[in-house]
Amino acid sequence: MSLIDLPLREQARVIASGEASSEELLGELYARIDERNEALNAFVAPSPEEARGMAAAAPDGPLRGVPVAMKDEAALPWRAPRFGLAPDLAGVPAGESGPYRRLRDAGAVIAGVTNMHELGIGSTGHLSAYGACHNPWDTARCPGGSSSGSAAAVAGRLVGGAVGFDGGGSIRLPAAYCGVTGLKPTYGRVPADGTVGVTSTLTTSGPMCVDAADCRLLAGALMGEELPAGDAKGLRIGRPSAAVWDDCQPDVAAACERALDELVGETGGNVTEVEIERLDLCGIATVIKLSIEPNAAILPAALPFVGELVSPLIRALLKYQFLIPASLLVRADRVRAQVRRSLVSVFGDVDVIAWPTVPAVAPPLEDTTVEVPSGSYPADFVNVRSTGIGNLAGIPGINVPVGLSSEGLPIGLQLQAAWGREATLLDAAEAFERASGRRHVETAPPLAQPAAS
Amino acid sequence: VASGTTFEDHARIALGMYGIEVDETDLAVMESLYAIYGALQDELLSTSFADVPPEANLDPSGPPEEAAA
Repeated sequence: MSLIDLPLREQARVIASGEASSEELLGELYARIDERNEALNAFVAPSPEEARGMAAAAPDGPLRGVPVAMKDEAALPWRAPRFGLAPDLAGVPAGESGPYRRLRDAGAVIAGVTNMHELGIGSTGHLSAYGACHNPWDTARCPGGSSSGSAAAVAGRLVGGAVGFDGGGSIRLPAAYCGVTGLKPTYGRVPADGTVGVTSTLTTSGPMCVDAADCRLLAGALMGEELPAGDAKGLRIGRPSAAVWDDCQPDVAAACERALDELVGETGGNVTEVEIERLDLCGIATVIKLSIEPNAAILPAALPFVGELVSPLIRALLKYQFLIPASLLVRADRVRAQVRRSLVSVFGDVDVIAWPTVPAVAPPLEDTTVEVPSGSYPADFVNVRSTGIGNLAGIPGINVPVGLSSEGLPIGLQLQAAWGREATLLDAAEAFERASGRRHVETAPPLAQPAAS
Repeated sequence: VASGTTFEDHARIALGMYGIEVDETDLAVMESLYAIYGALQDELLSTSFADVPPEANLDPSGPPEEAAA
């Protein structure tokens, strides 16, 4: 087994004990990128020279010498983020962003920058100025987005952990498509200075790793505080009767139902029905906010220039925002207010709320339409319905891999908790891993299995 | 879209007010977006929020201020 196949926490341990060096890990990581990245297009800017410099200067933190990847959304001292766009459009200069500082101070080493969906507006990852990113489970399929490269890099075992950003589901959705564990922290728990989403009221960065224990370690570094482990005993799970459950592909709903049963069995907890007010409108409210908020700095006069440098879809989206009535934005904010109040009540009765992270498995790159019981829809349309509530409310959420579809594609269960309760989510995810014998987090995609190496 | 007006007319006029030009590709993409999200936009517009006051001092990092009070 390569050092790069070890969990992040094991990589940290072997470096701390002197069994291996950061230099050796980096050597294996870049060899792995050479071997697999052409098929995935997950890394868009590996940085071996800068990584070796960071390794040489790494302080004695919990991730000393351990390589991680950064989504193309945060400034690094040697590179301005491009946000999946042509150079110089994202408007953030190179420098020490908040997530970079937190990782550096924990001793981590930035191995490179990962691909993302253009402008962060998309849950598929098939559009990017760098070219499409590919799903390691089936390279003809979407890896999800917008943190496409971070998910694909971890699933393909190119790196043990990566940072994603989530403004409408952009950590959780690609984590589900690629079968990795992805945690969206509570809004504001990771500093956002030096990131493209610094002015967003929806976006936060978080860890994407193979399993929950590694997410705990990387999240702790990003948040600047340890997230103590618990046993999730007596976990109270809330399950709404709503489209987020009812309008899913049968494989997806069945795997998530089984996962809840196993989680209850492991924790001795229970599942109760909950009602979240305006859950049905969270998807469109998030779309309205996301269509306008991130682009507020783009003036109409700049559109002819910008329009030449983005894809036709993004160019039209940038123009479309000026057709959205202001009354919709006001109403989206009322949905936000109502759902936040409702969640205060819901989390008085349960520890987590649960439903499938995505209603349908990863669609082909060539056609991002998915089939769900109510019909055929663009993947973005149904995906944000499941994840937007977390961004509107600001609450943390996690994707937990819970199985494979009949086509061999990953299925994910989403758990969300009250503000500041990331540790509860990680405890629940680890409880499920125990209950399922860790088979869903330890099964690598065919591309990353030893026989394929 | 106003009665008797096509989506194309509406888009050209509304965006033209801001000096934004659109071509056939823009219109096709925008029309498809409207076809996908229009019904939900209409549902949002037709929902009464008369009994939902705006949230004061929104801070998504925690529960609403009134919940802590």
